[in-house]
Amino acid sequence: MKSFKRVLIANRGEIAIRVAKTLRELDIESVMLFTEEEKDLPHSSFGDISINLGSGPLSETYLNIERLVKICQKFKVDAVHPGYGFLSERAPFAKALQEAGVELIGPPTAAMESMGDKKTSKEIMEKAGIPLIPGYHGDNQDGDLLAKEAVKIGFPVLIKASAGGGGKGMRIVEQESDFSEALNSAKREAMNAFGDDKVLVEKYITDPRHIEVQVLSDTHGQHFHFWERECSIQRRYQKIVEESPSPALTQELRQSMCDTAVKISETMNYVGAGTVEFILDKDGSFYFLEMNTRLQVEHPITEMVTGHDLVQLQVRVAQGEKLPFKQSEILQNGHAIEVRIYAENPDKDFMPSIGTIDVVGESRLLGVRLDSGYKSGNEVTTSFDPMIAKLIVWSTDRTQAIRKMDKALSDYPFLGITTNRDYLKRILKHDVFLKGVTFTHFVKTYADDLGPRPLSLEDKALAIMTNGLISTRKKETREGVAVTTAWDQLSGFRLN
Amino acid sequence: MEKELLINDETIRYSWVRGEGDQVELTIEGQTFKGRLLEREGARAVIEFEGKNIQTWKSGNHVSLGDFSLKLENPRDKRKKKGSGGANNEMSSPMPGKILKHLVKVGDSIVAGQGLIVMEAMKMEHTIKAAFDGTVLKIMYQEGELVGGDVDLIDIEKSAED
Repeated sequence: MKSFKRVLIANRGEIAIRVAKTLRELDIESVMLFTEEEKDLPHSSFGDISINLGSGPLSETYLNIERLVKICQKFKVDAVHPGYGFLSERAPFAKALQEAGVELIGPPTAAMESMGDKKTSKEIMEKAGIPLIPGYHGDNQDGDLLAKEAVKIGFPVLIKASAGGGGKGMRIVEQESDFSEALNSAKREAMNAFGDDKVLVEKYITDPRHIEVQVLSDTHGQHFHFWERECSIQRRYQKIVEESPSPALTQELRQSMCDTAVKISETMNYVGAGTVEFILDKDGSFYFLEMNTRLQVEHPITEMVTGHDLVQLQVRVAQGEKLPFKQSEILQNGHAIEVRIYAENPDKDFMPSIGTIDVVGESRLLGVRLDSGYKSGNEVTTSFDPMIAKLIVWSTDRTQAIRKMDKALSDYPFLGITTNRDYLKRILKHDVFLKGVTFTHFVKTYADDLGPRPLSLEDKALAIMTNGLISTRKKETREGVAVTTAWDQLSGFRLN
Repeated sequence: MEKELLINDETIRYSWVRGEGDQVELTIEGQTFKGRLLEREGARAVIEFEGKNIQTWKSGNHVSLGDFSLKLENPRDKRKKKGSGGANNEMSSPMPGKILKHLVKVGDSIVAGQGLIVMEAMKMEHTIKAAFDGTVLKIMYQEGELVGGDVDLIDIEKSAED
């Protein structure tokens, strides 16, 4: 069995810091990367060794495989943790590391490749008997044949351009009599948008939920699941609120989904951490969507309910350790919620925002976890992802966890930039969310309820009082860096 | 003395006086609220507001009351910043990015809500829309040009109001 002494974290921001925390606990040195622009961000100095990648586009910094391999060799690292995004699912990176004799804390290259391609992954699943969304994906594009296939699938169906994306060449068809007209217009649109009018027909799920199962396998053929995460609350196809357990599942359905996920791991001889994503229909049918062969942004909620540190398990698996527990010992305890704090304006179509974070905030609750890539005084720019932090809470049950999250958000104003914080609080307080009726169209369906509430007289009074009692101004320091100083500029009365 | 503040662009009139001890009495729309500063640490404060301790923050124009984040401005500063020209926040660049496309040209009559310029920022497209009816006088940047955040993109002469 290997024993890592030093690990390179090929990532940035909150996830780099999160991985470094576990490495520290394992007494493994972490090598951290940063760019010229990120000098002031906390990840730049969080590890044991910091490497400045200079400036330039991502392709020359975090995504430069050749350069990262050289760093591994120069600093004699034993392994690389890729985090999520960036190079975490890029097979060429895995291969380059293998050739350089550096371990990747991730899945085997073959699994990464087969799951990275939607078509291949679905073929593998079909062979293994994993449920897929019923549909027709064939080459024969004859109108009558497609109509027959649609009837076979059952209405409503979704016609989708094969080359598609962004909703172009997409039609929902409610009944057979509308099919041919919808098909023609989808084909026309697809031809105009992609130069290819090939379409596929799938069952349309009216009220879908996004539920995923955390899996983890070691190199000794043990395949585990760590229960599910419900991630249906999304905006622009990105998750913003995640929870575990899912309020939608019966114990029977939960077991069935988790068993299916483990079966997928077994089929693929998977190693490491992964996530199997499913779409759940109202009638309890669930379908394989895709498998992510890496750590997921929302992994902390699984850590909260199972008590396992997933990064630690990833490292131990990569070292070749046989995990010393049984599936039956992995329990889902209590309820955990994560919200993603984005620098964006939900009241203006989620437009990203930039600026300086004057104050991040500090929790006044027990056991609140803030995974953030920013500290007070940091600048948020357009160069990187607008997700600035994740807030994670755990409590004994769902109602209590929601309440705790609402309170926790109050302690983190991320003052100075526009964020989705207030919007997240509105979601948490929405009756339908409280009832656990969380479909992926939640944010759109209840858009009218999720707008800003008008300020009450009390709110206005408190705001004015805050303004009078905390007066600040930007002052230039000798170095020319703007800092915020507070001083009292109350007129009309003094404070003793 | 009556004062004025803009909260989220809404003008609020209020007055406040020093009450007993270190208390402040704020009157707004005929209703009076009592408050007192209990703790201050940089931009953060704990205010005893109507008998209850509430944590609030303020930095620059940004105020957070815990449940709400809001923008608070002195009307005088706002007027100064805006000037008397055609500058309008709604038609400036929301952030640094690239001008992708002009949807209108100089001399065009436009109506409120009409798309004027498409820009790309943070890998997403944003359409800058007209905040009022008018005529395009000038477009500051060409297609393909890079622009900073919060700069005016287009000059529009407002139609005379009825």
